Amino acid sequence: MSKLDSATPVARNWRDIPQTVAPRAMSTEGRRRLAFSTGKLIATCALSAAALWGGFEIWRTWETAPQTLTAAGKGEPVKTIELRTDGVLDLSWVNDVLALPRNVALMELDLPGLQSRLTTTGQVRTAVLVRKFPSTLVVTLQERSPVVRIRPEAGPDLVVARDGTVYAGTGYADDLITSLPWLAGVRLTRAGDGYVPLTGLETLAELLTVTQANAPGLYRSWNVVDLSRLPTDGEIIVRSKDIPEVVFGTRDDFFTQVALLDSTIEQIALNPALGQPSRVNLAVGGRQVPVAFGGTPAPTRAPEPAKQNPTFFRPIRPISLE
Amino acid sequence: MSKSRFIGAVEIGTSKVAVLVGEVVNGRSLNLIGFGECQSRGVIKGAVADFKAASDAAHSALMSAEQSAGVRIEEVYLAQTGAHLEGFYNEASVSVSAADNMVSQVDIDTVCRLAKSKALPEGRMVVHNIRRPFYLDGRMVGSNPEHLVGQRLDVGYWTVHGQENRIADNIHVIRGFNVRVGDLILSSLAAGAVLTSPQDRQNGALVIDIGAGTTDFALYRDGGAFVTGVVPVGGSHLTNDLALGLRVTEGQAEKLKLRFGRGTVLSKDKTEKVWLNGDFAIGDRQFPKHTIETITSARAWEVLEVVRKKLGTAFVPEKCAAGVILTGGTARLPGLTEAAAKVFGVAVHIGELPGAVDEKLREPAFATVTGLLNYGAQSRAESAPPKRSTTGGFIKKLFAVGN
Repeated sequence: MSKLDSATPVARNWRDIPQTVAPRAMSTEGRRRLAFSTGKLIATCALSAAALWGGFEIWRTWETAPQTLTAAGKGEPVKTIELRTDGVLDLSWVNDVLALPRNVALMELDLPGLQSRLTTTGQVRTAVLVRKFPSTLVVTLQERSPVVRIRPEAGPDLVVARDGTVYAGTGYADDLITSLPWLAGVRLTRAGDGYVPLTGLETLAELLTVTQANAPGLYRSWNVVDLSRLPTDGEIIVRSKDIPEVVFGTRDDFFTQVALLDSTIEQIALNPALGQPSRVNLAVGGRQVPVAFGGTPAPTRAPEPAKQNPTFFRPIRPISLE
Repeated sequence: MSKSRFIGAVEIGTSKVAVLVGEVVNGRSLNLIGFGECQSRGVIKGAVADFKAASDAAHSALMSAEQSAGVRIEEVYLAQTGAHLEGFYNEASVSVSAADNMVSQVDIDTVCRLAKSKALPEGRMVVHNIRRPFYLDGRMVGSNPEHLVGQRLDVGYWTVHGQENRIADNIHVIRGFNVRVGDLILSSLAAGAVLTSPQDRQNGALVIDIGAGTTDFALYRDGGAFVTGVVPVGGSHLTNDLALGLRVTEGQAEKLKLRFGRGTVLSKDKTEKVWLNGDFAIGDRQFPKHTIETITSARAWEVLEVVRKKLGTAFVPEKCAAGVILTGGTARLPGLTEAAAKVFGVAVHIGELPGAVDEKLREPAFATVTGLLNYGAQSRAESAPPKRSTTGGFIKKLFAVGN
């Protein structure tokens, strides 16, 4: 303390008055407020202490046994698989393909691995798997639609999608499959558990779509579509119940060609003396349609099996993780 | 993001307890968000006489204000009045210590401490230390003489002090509601803060707050409060005089005062009579109007004369250019401004609160509580230490250029 400080008198200020009041001197409202503020203080202290203790416990666990911290994130086992699809595949098929082990935890699932299992089948174009807590796996699928069917040298019949993907085709109605024409004139090449996608299917799919939409009667009579001359001559050959060979060209639009075919068949039907047509060539172009007579109608059975390129392949085996 | 703080202002008066709740946004703007009022009980001439009754009234006003504002008050500014409050002036001077005669902060602190260091009698406590302007070698230099050159630095303080137990009673009434008293502010300074502009305070102004039990006054000069004081006479004395003079009850006298009371005698006809109630019911009586005006004006003149006398030589009409500003409930008495003008010899007007204040609060009776909030928020903002940059300006600029 300086000399000056010790010499100068200090007057008492009103702030020296203690602002403490005994609860008995308080009004009811004052006591209620005091209890509230005391409770608030206690709660704040308790929360702070709990937070400190929790932090200390986490730190201690991290120091001594960090694995228990990671194990804490296991979560609940998968109880439900929820399927959303734009096609025909059902939940049992998804269950079979995923083949999840019993009581596997939701957080333990290898979602990219499961997704690749689903997309390997060919029928599934895209698959999205999402964890929905606490215990649901949501599977969202986009499926391919078959355009034609094909018979390989060995094994059951397959179907081909618009993008050329060849796959087994699961869950489709029988009459849908039997209404599809057979595909001929292509070679199947093995790739892993499936086949290399075929080329030219986009063009064929366009022809079939146009015909199905505008001349459904014609479409129903088509048994086989042959793509053997598509890469070289740009021609698609169709064998129907009534005409053994109808040739479509890819230079003109398919709508005109289908209309010409329909008109030609109509004219032939009006002149029974002409006999049964054996070949109709729509690939010439223009309004001229060369028609050959005297043939026999194409058989309704399946064509010869599609030839396969010699490749090493593994047989498909069902996957079971149980 | 804006930061809000809720503060309360409490005036425990002789006739009423008024509470205002304000929201200080970002420490700058003040919004009035709640108001509570209750008839006062247990308070005589501004001092608590019955703790329980005064507490009940104050707490009920506080609750009403909190409900009106919808917030919980944690701290209040409390108005202080009463005849126990007194003031004195003390000044000190120091020789500037530096060799080059430049005033340093140490010189300022020393002279301020010396000017405030006056021992008080037993049981007295300082309520306010109001600093007057600094003088350097006899030249007025305002509020901050640091870095000015001179040999002698003078400063004076107007110290307001009061009876410890009276002040403690007021504080304990508020603490009984579990609310902290953030600051204790003289009623006259609170009213003056809101009724005068900085220009008025610079030119000189006298604020007289005539309440029910006391009359508070503050004389401003050179931009700050020069002299303050309290006279233990107020509007209730006018009522009491009427009750004694006319032989009526206090309630009837109050009614007559409000209807016919005047600060100056206007009625020339001594035979003119006025009815007590005016409803011609049983008990309704007639009183000479001239007598009522004479009684009220006599007391009003007396109050003003006492104020003038207490101001003494401090009041110089030539140094009170902004005139006298009357406020408080009794300021509504017709003719009081004329009476004050004759007593003080300067222009007189009724204090008007800013237009932003709610219509109801613009009554002179609420000037103190409104000013209390304003004064409290202002003094808190002024007392806050200025924010200083932690990094030097040059280094900061250097890094800014580097970036």
